Amino acid sequence: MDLKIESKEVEGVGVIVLEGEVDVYTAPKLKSRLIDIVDEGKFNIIIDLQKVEFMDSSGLGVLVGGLKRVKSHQGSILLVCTQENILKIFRITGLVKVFPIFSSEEEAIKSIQGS
Amino acid sequence: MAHFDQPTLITIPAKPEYVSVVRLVVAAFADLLDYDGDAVEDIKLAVSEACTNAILQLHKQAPPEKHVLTMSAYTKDEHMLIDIIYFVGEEADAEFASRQLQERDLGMSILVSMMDKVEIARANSDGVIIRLTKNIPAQHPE
Repeated sequence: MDLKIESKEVEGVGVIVLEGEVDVYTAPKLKSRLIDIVDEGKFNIIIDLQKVEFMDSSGLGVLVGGLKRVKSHQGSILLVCTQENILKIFRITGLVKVFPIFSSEEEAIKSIQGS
Repeated sequence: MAHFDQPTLITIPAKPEYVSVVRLVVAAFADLLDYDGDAVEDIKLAVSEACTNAILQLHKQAPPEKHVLTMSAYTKDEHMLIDIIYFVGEEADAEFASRQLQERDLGMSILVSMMDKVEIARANSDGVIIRLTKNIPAQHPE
């Protein structure tokens, strides 16, 4: 399965919604979209992983790269994910301590607005 | 416990778009054994990491005509074994595969967490085998 990437703006926050599989083939598409969004001046970004069926370290590497990019502008990347098979790889790699993870877009937006 | 000593094989071009095909095949093979859904997902993830590593090494070290890899899945005793086999050409550098995996530390963390054993060895003079082992769960008596 390919990766569908939808980007939108919700209350001034850039939101990327992913659907499908994020691996060595599809991760470059995500990287490219993240770079575009940062270039548009959006430094607080929510990435919704609720419809991601598979992700490996290629996807994680893109997220870490994106985080470095927004942090240089004092920004942040927040994730939305409740799927155990995806959360597991964030736990294994210790990235649960790096990315705030929320159970809905609304919660993530509130967190950005409250910070 | 079911035994599948005869390997199930798939050979793919060493291109990123084919890794999902290997995942599908290994998941189907794992379904034949007694793994639960979570374990099948773990196996898919480990195979994805191993194939990614192989593709990266091939594109760095091997001439284009060597850009293929084979996945072989079979059972031995109480284990499922998955070999990712590829040929680099001339003298295969199995240590390069290990070093690259260490450098891709996210991938390495995932790989060793998902499988019971991960080994990287030379095959003949110009090949590399990444061998992944997963214990097959014991069946409970009825």
